[in-house]
Amino acid sequence: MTGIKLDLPGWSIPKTASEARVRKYSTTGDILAFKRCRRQYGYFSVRGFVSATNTQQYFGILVHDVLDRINRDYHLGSPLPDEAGIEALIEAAHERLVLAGIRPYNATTQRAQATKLISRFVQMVGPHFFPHVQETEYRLERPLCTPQGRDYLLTGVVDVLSGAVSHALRLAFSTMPDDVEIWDYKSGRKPEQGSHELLDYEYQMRVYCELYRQQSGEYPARAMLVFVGELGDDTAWQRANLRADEFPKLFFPVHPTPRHITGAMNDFHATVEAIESERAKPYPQQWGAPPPSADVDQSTCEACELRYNCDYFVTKDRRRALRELAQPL
Amino acid sequence: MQLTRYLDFLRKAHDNMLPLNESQRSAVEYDFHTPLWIIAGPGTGKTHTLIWLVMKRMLVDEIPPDRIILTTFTNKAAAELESRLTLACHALVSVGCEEAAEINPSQLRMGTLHGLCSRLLQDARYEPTLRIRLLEDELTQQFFLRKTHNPLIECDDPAFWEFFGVKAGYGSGPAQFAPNRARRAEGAAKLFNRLTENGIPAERLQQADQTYMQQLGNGYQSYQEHLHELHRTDQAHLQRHFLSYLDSPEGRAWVGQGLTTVVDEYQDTNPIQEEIYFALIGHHGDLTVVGDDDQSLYRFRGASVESLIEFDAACDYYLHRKPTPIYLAENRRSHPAIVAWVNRFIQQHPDMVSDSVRVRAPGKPELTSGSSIAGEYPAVMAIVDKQNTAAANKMRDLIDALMVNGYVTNYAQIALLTFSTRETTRSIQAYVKALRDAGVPVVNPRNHRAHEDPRIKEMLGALSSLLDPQFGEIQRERLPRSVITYIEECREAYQSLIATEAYAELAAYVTSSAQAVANSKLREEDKPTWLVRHGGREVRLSGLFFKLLAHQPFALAITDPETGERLKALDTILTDYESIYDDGRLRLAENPEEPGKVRIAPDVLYSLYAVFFEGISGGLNDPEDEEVSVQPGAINVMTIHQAKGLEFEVVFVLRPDKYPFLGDTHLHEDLLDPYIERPLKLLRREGALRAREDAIRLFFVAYSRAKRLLVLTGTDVAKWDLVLGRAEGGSPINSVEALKGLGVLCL
Repeated sequence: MTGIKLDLPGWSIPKTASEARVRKYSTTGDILAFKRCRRQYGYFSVRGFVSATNTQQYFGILVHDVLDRINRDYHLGSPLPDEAGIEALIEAAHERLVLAGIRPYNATTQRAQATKLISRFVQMVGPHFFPHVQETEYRLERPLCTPQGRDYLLTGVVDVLSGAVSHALRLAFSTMPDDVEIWDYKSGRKPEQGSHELLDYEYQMRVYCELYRQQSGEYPARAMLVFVGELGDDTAWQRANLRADEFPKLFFPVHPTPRHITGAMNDFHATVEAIESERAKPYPQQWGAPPPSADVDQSTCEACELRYNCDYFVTKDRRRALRELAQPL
Repeated sequence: MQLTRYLDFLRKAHDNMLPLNESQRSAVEYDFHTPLWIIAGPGTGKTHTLIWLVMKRMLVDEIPPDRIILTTFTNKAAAELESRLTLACHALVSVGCEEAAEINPSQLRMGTLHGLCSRLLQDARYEPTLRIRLLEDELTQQFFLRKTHNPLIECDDPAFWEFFGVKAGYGSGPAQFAPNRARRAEGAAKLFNRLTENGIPAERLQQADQTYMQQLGNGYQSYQEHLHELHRTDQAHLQRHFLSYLDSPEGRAWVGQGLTTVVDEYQDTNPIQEEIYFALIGHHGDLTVVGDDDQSLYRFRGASVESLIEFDAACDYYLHRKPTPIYLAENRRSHPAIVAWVNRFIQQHPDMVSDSVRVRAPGKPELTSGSSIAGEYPAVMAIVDKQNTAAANKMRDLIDALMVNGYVTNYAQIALLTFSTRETTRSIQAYVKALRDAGVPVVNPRNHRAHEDPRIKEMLGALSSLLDPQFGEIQRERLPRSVITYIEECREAYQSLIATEAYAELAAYVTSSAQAVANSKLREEDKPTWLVRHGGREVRLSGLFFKLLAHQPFALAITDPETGERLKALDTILTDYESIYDDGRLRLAENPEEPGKVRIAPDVLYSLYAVFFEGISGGLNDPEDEEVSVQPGAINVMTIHQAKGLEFEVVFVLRPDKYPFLGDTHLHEDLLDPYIERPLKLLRREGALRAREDAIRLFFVAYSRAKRLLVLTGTDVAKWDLVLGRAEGGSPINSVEALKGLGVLCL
């Protein structure tokens, strides 16, 4: 370099500025996704790779959209639809999803299954449920702080905020006529008791209860997970004879007991810290494969486009991974 | 809460000093009997004022957060506002303001207007937009126009395109050829967006006397019909949908008497957005706009700076009230000499004065200097040389001296700002090269060079070889030469890669997959046969991309900070392409050259090359971190547009001889103006003068980013005339001597 002699009298040395930032975390899109698999979360949610596998979303969105539509129509004065009406609603929702690029695998079967589940839901639960719905897609969003002092915004969307549906359905736990309840539909069947999946759902509901309390001043009476997929069980359907309280595994109440809520909130805070510490790593070390001891659900791996270059997946069944990788297309 | 109590808490949270100067305080204390018109110069604490104003609206005026709309221009700015509001709330709570603990700023309707429209329409379950698919950006919009065979894409009349300023190439004189399809799509998308933003119906153009206008109307009608048929929307139409919603019974019920609406960066608002804001505030008229006309940069995206400049006329029309202007003029960012430089530049520029129309907001005062930065040193310098390489070397030496002497402590405190960041000889190649050669860390994400990364080429070459082993004449004959060349380079890159035999697994995968395509079976029925893998699942383009990515060398490349991000950018564009082209499914056809064998249908390959590969080969930018404005540890090279809203200790403004000129943007404004049915006519000067205004505003932004030192750097100072303005007395600044006369230290 030729060199420039520089004399700048009165120049004060600048400090390195840092941008103040309070990150926003979605309950499902961030916290639960990271807990499912940090690598998949990092590549697809943080770095921005886009997954081509969206067929797995189809069924859940279809069920959700149709139940939402039935609720809207009901509150605009329409009666609850019969099976033919539900079929028409499913057809319309399916067309919209296809146009939106959410394509099903084996669409006919999935639509038939959705018709069955929703028809049964409407028949058995509908007359007690829809009149009590207060809000759908209810947004929860609160600024929170981890024990380490990190500010963040936690967001979540509750499927339904309702009045005393459990009371109307005479479910077998203590309910009151002025209860407020959070209802969250799951289109599948209830996961095994004690499974990670069910535990995560419980955490999610408890955190929703806490966010709701912070937003409205009081806890809801309970959060109710509704496993609509259970309604596909023909034997159970026959036995229940339109009595929701007789239908096993359809409902899973999560009660807002302070001790459990504290546990769930602590778990979420810890997950936020874990995500932040991943973000702080140098690029090549970020979002590594989960350790072999991790319990990543098989369906999570199957849906991951990056599974073949993931040590966790490859280590679990090396032969299969290599075989699939070498398979054409 | 009483206002005095609020101000007391504000003081307590800031070491017992009110963190607002007089004009900022006037804005915060405003009573909203009429709309508020905040004109805020650079470095005058606009966002700071906005934060405490919004907090006051919630705490003192007791407006529920979900009845406040707060919009800004970018997602990054929206995230910053949300962050700062949360921190402001915490600050008040920490000094005992219990009321602040009760409010939830995250319930504000906050974001970019596009994002808010999308979210609010979703919340309202507005039937026409249920699960509607958004063409997110201009590139996707262009893909859509090509896929739907818009009549304008098929129009090969050179005169038509020349009429709308869409050129086949560089150079002047009458056009002999129509532009290629990619350029037509770009031009058509731009025109359609302007039509939508200005509310010009297709029928109005179809009834025009001018044939080209009729053609444009036909193209626009076809575009709108396809959007409707395929349940798609673009950003501008999404806002039209939102306006329709606001006019529906549900929308009117939601608006009620009106929402409290605060709009940041109002100088970059377009006509449809202005309509939306006035619809949102209803009869109540609770509207705050904040902006700086001198920093309006987005005319080329349809922004009309007149929305801010003529805001009083708009209020008069919609509300029969005049707004109250408040000017934020105390610059706390820059050295006084830099403040003086920007004042002289904008105030005395002959092109920013007009007797016929307002070019700047009325009554605007000069910036005053309120920064703690001072010092006797010359805060404005210039590096002028005959050759760019020589000027670049001086720039490098100055940066070295700044670092060595400890005047700056981190390269990220220095920015190189310029009109175009392309690393070509016509632009700033010499400057970036001088730094890189000296081992100085430089980041230049918008350099349009990522498509030349060897791994990107190898990936594209592998994809092409898998789907189209021959790349035969049938594909080549309709493709532009430049695209053929790029495809060939990619395929050669892939061939060279596998020739090393280090990547035998990749080669085997590509070969066996190509064979699987050839051995696929066509269905007998009269339906398309899609490529499927073993087991019957449809193969998608992005599925192939990820399968390739699982092989070395790509599997390792995704962990590299530079190449990993580029592969991500490729994936994003591929996904955009897929969203338009059969969701990435691949249709098969007989292969006439090999009886009994199958290939990917030629039109599918043609689209892949002519649309996707063409989109990449035209120049791929590196992706930018959506959260981080300034990359740490390196000198940031940025377009001036990118630098809007940022500040740096030292700013080099490179190549002041390069600035925006009269182009299709200005032409479109003039051509479409007679067809706009707008209650308020936008008052503008002729196109050439508007182009000069744009250049001046651009450089006003560049100069005002500097805190401690501003260095103009380039060659041919005589050509800097427009972006230097005038000296006292009106004399031009077109020589080193003239610069020295202004106190500029010339190196």
